[in-house]
Amino acid sequence: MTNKEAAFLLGACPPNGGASDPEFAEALAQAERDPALKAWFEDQRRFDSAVASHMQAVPVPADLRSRILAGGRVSRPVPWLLPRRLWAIAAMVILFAGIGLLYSMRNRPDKWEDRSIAAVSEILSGREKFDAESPHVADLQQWLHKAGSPGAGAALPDRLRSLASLGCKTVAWKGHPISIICFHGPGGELVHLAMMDRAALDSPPPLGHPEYETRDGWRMACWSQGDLAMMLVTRAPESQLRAILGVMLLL
Amino acid sequence: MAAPDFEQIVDAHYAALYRFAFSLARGESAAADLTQQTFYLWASRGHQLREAAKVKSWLFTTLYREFLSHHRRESRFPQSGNEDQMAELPAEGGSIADAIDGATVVAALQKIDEVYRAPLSLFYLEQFSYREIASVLDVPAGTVMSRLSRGKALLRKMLLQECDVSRKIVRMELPPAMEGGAQ
Repeated sequence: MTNKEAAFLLGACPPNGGASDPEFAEALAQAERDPALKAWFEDQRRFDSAVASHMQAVPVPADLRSRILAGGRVSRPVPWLLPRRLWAIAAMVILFAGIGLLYSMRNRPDKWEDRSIAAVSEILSGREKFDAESPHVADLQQWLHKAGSPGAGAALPDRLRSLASLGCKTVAWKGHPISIICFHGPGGELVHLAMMDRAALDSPPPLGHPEYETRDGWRMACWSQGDLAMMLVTRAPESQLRAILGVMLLL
Repeated sequence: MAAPDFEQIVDAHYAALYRFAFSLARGESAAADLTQQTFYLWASRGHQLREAAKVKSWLFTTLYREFLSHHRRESRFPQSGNEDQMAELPAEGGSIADAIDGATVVAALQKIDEVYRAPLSLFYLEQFSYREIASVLDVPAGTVMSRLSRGKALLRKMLLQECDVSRKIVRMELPPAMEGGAQ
């Protein structure tokens, strides 16, 4: 091999390793024989070692470990409802036409609503899968209960409970779990319910009365119920959200 | 030997994963979120991984995919491995190594396109082999070698700028004495 080829190989040799790798053996031997290549390689090693040591010294947030351990206490999925996957596939096919929304959220979400919507988008795009699938929301809440995820025992609005569900997923936001359940909406569009511990929020939504908002083409209704912050989100017109939550509004 | 529990896995890998995330996401908060999400996914699905030896690779691969899914909205990967780096191999590593500090390295690295930044980070942080990097990034091994070579050249150039080294950057050609090479 030429010195250029040897240098190319040696550039991929780890800063503190590679001597025993047969891939590098010939190039290393050549560097031993050729003074110019040897000088270049020693220079490269010195540079690599300096960069590696500096990068390995980047400080890690002091509370990160505890936040990770707190987040890891949720969801250990059991694939017990997988035969219902066809429902999800059908919904994904329908919704792929509207998947432009996936590319509109360019930054890491600072709000739990955005994190939830991003998770829904991931599911709809097929890049993420449901943790559990069932057309019966009771099955999904049972799964959430077993997983220790929020909203397992939440009393859902009657109209929402009557809808056929697709599946559920639990995601993390700032170390706190969010439970997401997806439904077939009354107008054909999907409707997604997100639930999390309202005590984890600085500004939780109001108790009992939904606040309606439109964000990036999503219609959202957010409210608090007991210890939970809840959000219903859809691409359908806001009137459908109001229809689903109407009964609750009268309470 | 019993499989490590969640806490053991966190302790073994969270710092390195955070640093990898930090090099990708360019922000402490986003890096922490990426790291948390990766371990959350491990808690959700990692138990399906039978081979404990692959935990580290799984975590780095998952973090990288999470980063891509949240932060990259268009593919900029040149998938072919035909990037010709040989014309840009630098020759001033030692003197730069003397001049840089941690902040300078981080600042320089974060100016480099993610296509090169990701393999460089894995190379320097965890000293992954190029084959392991190829597995984590899901690109051919030859492409990883090209990106490492090109990425190092870019990093040197950025470091020279960051350090405000006022000497000329040598044309990054190997010295003439190396051109012939031992056969």
